[in-house]
Amino acid sequence: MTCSICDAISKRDGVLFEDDKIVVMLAQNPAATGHMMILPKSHAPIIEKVPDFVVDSMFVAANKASFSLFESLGALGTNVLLQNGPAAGQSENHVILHVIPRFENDGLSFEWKPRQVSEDQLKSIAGQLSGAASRTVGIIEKEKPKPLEEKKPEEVGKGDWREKYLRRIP
Amino acid sequence: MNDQCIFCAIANGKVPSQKVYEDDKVAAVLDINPANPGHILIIPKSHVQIMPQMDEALAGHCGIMAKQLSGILISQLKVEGTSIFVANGAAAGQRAPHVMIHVIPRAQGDGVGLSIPENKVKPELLLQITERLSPAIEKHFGKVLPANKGKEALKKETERDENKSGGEQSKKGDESQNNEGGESAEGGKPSLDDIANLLTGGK
Repeated sequence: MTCSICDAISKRDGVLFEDDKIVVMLAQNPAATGHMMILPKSHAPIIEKVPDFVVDSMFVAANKASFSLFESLGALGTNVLLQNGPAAGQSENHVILHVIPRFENDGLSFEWKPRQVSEDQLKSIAGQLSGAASRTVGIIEKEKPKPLEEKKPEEVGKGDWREKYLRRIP
Repeated sequence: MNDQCIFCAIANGKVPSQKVYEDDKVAAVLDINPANPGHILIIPKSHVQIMPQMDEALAGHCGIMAKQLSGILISQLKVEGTSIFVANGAAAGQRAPHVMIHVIPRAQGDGVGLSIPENKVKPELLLQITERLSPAIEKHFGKVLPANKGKEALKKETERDENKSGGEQSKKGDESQNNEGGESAEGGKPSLDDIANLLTGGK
């Protein structure tokens, strides 16, 4: 199954920046002028499949994206949004951390209707979640150190300033 | 920590809350008026008004916590997905002057929204925006890849250079002054503190 986002990355469509972990792109069908997207370079369909150290880089990049939007486009705010799963509105099969610039009266709205939940229900949910969280949350996967490259012996070519040292006096 | 800030008090345990997780940097608590039951707020223990004001270590940590807590919501509540959401600035819908990362359990048709509209725009406009963003991108991220300018922009640059050498002054490149949609601010650009202060009226 092909990923249209991975294709776009390889074609460099709208790519503003990339490093070994993340890609920063300008959204091609933006919600607002300057809408940016931060993506893990390696394919992952949901955030849970992205290694912790890449997620770290993505959120650092989201802040840099916000700075860029404030400075370059005069945005008055930004929304950072990740739609994790189709139920959350995810349409592409690749994790996207959206950074959407906001302006006054821009016609965008990211609001929801708050619900009433009983104290008991809150306690019960908190208990269930905290129990599970205590076992796994906070254990952070670090990036593995890159293997040291084997250094090939340097070849001293003709005309190299070191050449004279090759000519030893017997 | 700011003594006047209720969210500092919540994150640092001075005020009771339904806590799901905490460490030395953040507290994760249930929202008492949730979008859906299980809605988690990740609150940094230090007083930070908007996420871009955080140092990189804290920003990265908040991201990892959002990922891990999202996983907990899915495995424990058997929900079909989660929304991870931050509002930086009043214009973005921020209500409280303290960073909150929302991790919201989602189900199909739950009415929570947080959908992202898509607009078709002309490729020329995208190139203009890329050009306007480039100096800031270079400043904050590092070197801008030459390849990312795309074939169209490179072609335009070549045409411009050819026209200049031919003696014609082509002003095509100056279209970046055109404000499509009227988004750019007149005069000075807002500073980070300006954006944060839009919430608190400068307090």
